[in-house]
Amino acid sequence: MILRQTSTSSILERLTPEAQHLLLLGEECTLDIPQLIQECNQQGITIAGGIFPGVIHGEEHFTDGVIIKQLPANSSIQLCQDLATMDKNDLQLANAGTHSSIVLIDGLSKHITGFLENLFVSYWDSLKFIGGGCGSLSLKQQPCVFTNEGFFEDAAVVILQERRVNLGVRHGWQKIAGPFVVNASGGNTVHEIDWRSAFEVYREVIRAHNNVTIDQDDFFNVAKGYPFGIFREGMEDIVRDPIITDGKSLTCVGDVPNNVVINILEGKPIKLIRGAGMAAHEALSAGADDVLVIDCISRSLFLENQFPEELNSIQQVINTHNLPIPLEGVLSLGEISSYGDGYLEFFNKTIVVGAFHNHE
Amino acid sequence: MSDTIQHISLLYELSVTTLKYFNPSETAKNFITKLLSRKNLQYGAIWRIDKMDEEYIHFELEYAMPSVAKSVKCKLQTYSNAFVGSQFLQTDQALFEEPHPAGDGYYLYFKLQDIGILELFSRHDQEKVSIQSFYNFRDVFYQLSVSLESAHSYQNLQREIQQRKFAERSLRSNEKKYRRIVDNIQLGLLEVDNDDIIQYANKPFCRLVGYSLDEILGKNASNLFLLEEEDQATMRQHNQSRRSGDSSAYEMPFKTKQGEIKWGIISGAPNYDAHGNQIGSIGIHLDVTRQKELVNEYAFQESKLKNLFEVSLDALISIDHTGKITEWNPQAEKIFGYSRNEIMGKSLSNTIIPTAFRKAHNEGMEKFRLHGHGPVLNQRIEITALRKGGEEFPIELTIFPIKYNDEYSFTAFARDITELKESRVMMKKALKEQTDLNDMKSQFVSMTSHELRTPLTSMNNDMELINHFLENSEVLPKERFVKIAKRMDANIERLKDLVSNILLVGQLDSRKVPFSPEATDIVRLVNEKIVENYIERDRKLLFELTGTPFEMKVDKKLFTQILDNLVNNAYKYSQTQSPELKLHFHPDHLLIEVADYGIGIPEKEQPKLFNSFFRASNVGGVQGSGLGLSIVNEFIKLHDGTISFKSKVNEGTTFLIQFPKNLN
Repeated sequence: MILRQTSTSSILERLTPEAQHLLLLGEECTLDIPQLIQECNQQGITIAGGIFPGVIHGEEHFTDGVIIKQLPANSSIQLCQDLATMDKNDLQLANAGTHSSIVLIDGLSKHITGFLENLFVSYWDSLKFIGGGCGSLSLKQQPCVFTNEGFFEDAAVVILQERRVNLGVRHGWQKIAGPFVVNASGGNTVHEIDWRSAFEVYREVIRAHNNVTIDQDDFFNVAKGYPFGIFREGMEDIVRDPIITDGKSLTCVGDVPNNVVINILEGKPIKLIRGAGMAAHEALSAGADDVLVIDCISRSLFLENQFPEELNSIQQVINTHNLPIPLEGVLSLGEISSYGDGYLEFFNKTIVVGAFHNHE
Repeated sequence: MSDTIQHISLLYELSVTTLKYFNPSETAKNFITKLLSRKNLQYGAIWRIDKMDEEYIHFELEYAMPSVAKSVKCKLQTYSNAFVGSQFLQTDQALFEEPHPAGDGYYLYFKLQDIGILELFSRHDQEKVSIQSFYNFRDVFYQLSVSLESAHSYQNLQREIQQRKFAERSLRSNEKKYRRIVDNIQLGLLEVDNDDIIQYANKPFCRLVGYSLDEILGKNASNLFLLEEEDQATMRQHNQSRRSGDSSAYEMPFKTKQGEIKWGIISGAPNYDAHGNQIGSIGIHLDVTRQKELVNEYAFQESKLKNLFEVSLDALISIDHTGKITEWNPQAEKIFGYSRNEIMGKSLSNTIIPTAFRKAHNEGMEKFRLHGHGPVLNQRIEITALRKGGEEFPIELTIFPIKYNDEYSFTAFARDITELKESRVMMKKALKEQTDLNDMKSQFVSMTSHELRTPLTSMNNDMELINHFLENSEVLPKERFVKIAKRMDANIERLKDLVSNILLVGQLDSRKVPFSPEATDIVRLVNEKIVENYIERDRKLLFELTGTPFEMKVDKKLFTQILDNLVNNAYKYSQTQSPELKLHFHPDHLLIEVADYGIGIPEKEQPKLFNSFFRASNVGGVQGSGLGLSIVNEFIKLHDGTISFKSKVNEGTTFLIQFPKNLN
């Protein structure tokens, strides 16, 4: 369910104390979150949610509006604050019947990798994760996740659920150059590539490939079409999206480990749209009682007018399987998924399709 | 080609990962994390061999993602069999005894040399953990093992370095602490190197020598502080002995910055570095200047005291609390006759205290021990002492007790006062003689005023009577004239006798009296000159003779005068009974008794009886000059005789004169 015209009361009308609710807000939504939390607390309504650059409903996406999704009974909502210092012992133990988890995290936090490690250490591969980075496209860090406990930045919400989820994870970006060695990096900033200035190498590659000159001021408009890909054997690279440069280094959404081998990727709309369809197919082939799409905001920015085609490719899969469920999701700052059965990763420029099953 | 490059790139990334971290757990974590990410595995771990026993090989977890138990064990046989001919082992069950948290799935193990094993897991995809898919990782895994081993070595080294740094800090802290202690002790501490160059001095030492530390660091200690070449030579000897590892202590003078001479007791010991090499020596200096001064002063005082004792005219005697003699000076040797060596340690009581006084002495000592006081202490007393030869003699004694360590000792000054006492007697005698002389003078004046004036007055009266007759032309009757003449003659005789006696006394004093003894028949002489002269007196002189008369050498004139004077006195001072004259001839001497039964001599005045001009107070109007008995006494002495008497007032007096038979 999506509400475009939002107020606290209109939201509250659709929430009940008996259920637990996931609220996904577009960043231009004018809803007063603290007031909502206060009202919910007063009415005994359980909520959890995040603010994203956009929300998806059907084949449309909005920067305002609220997606309201009802969580299964017995879901557990855990707020994780102060990501810098938390460790695996701060996380709740998963019940034997827990099978999946939705994770909403401040997409501009510097501690995403460590947080995901803690999740993986705590829950192994017993859970399948789907989630994304909250925040504003302005890339200014501000409160973006909330529960009944409050409205926070540099925090995460972990929702443990008994329902199973099938995941489809794809991005569709193609290698145009590489491999390169990130010989100097720190956190999410790449300082040197192949022992030279990261920006210099990046600019040369882009110019050589497409005869496009990239400069510091107009960096994002060009870079959104040429992300990095961290090599993974037998799978799609993990995409890292360079978004800012100081003329020497490149800052990405998500960590780029030191000495990692990267490729420079290129986006072709058709490939991306096809990738989204493949992700939906992987997730929904066994049907679903609910679907949640975590689609990277940069994909919509890159695809621009063609972005509805990506959503359409997913919707078509839903339709193909005659699933009576709405396509809902968010445009995120980074995506979370346990890729296949393996290690929990933080992706960029990727689409994650989660197909939830209420029963075995 | 592209896959190959990607593989090589991954190998490069992993190989670099193993090189970048010195922390083995961190290295393992980065390696495992990348491997899981790039290979999309569910689990990876690195186990390090902890120990082995007969049955098991025990592993400790280096790192695991996700985390698992900290330690596991594997049967030694299983482990050995697992890696026969290969470093890889692919299996569908875990290698370890303990249930594996990963559960069912596919495991790949790689033996990391001798340090442990790498464990990878895929739940569903056997191919992902096949030996083939990791075959090209062998070198990287080998490199991982080397890296881990190096990291462990590095970590151990770091730990060792840290421990060493901690130990050094602790050492420095201890050194600081000891420096503080050293600086706070009141003993001066000086460190020098093997060339006697000052390396360190604590504050007390700096205060002792008056220099600041900066002023003396790097300078030669001997040149700076020692006075004489002789001292420097001594110091060189001590330094030499320290190089042999010996410690020594000695006393030595040194000079301060201000040129003051001080004395120190120096306890020196060799100083070693951490490797046991001798790097110099350390000397602890105790300032004994004041003690030295006191010792010198004490020695001087003792010497002075000893000299005083040595030259003292008094005997100095000390005894300890048991009465044993501990000090005996030369004068004591002289006075008591015991040498120092002879008497030291002997009992005072048994040596110089007369037997009669020993009991009292011992009781006095015991009383002092019990009550802390004694009647004879701290005052000058006169007692009798005993010489070695047994002679008792008077001493003047001052005893004073000295308390030391709760025990009393006694020191006494003793002075032989034998001569003093004698001189006192002599002085007393001289004084008495002087007194007697004064008395004699008074008596002489008194006597002369009487004995001279009386006859002269009588003669003057007679002369006035004669002149009266002549002026008036009266005829003096013959009878009266004869009477006057006789009276005047008697007075002249009286004056003549008086003058004669006075002259005689003068002659006696100047020993100018003629003395011509000759053998004399005493009985005959007495009869002729004495007895016969008194026949006509109103009272008969009773004469008695006993023994066998013998001739004696006497001056007849003087002998006659002696008896005549005594017999005459007997008549003068008795009224009724006859005087007695007895001659007793003994074998070796003659004893003459002259007795009367007259007025006697007052007992009090008897001692003065033979003094010139003395006259007893009870003589009344009896004429006399007071020279007779004095002259008698002197005449008797010329004959080596003696005179004594017995007298009682109103009963009479008996003189006893004894002459030796043979005059020397």
